[in-house]
Amino acid sequence: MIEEAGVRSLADELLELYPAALPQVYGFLLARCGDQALAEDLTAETFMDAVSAVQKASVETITVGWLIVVARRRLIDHWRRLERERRSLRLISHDADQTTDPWDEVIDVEAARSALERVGPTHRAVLTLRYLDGLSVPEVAHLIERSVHATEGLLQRARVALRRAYEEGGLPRDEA
Amino acid sequence: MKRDPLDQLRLVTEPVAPGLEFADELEGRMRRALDVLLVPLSGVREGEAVMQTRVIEPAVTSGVAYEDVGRAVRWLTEILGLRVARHWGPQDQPIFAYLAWRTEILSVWVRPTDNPWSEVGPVSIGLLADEQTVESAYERAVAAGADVVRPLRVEANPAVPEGYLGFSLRDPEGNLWSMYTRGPRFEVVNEEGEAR
Repeated sequence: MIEEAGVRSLADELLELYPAALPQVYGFLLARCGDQALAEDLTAETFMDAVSAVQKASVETITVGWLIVVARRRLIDHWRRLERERRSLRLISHDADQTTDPWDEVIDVEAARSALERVGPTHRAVLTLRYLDGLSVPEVAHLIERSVHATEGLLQRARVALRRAYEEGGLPRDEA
Repeated sequence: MKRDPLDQLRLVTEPVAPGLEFADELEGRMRRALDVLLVPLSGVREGEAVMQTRVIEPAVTSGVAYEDVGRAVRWLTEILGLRVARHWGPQDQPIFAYLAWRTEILSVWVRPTDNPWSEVGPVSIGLLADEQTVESAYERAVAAGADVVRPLRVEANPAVPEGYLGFSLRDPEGNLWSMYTRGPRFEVVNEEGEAR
């Protein structure tokens, strides 16, 4: 806990960090969600989370790294909301289980990233965390609040779903 | 070990500047939310509230009577780090002041001579803070030659068996002020059965 002078100081620190941190946070989110309006919403939520942390004096310092961690959680929350709305995971998982996962040694990265926009929110979340962010399976499991074993299974199904979207090609979801 | 083809998707994030309107609007929201300005006594006009948008609404408050309120305020702000939220009377010798500590407000006032509060003796008040704040305040106290009645140390008791760091000082008029790291959290159930 931090007394008033500390709160003031951390508030200054956050506002001073803002101009440099904003493009980092926004760039991180935009690259992963591909939607400008959504990236702005999540960026705003991330910085207001930082404000809240300063007000509650629940942090001792705020860095770009700290903001990126919060941004990633916000993105995961967004995908969770989408998943709840769509209720499609069960169907996608079931279908995906019927397909194998034969990825070539060399893939068309742009096409694969485009395909990522067409898979379900939960699959997109784990694939983004695992492959775009390069997190380990246990780290992904921690972030999505599942067991490592369940996350491995989910990742496998997500890879199959991505493979299917990759082969089918087409426009990103938002443009279709 | 076979390389995973999907590792080629690894993204190196490049900074991207959002629209200026969005950036300005968000900065404005942050500034309004962070507009905490608890300033030292100097520079504050009599009776002027110096807390701007941050509102502290304590449910319990304590007050301490002093013969010399100006000296007490200087001691409490310069050594312990309390901040003046509002004061009445001359800047260097107020007759009454509200002092803020995190989410709480304490008051200090000139000891009366003609009511029951004139008889109130020295009091003991505890301030909770993080470890760094406790250590910094103790360093200031020692440097200022404050009357240390319990040096900085880790103690434990049945309520906080994991221990806490703290120290205690006697202020110039005999009141005891302790500062220590946070103790246990309490969850209280109200009449409707809701935790609050």
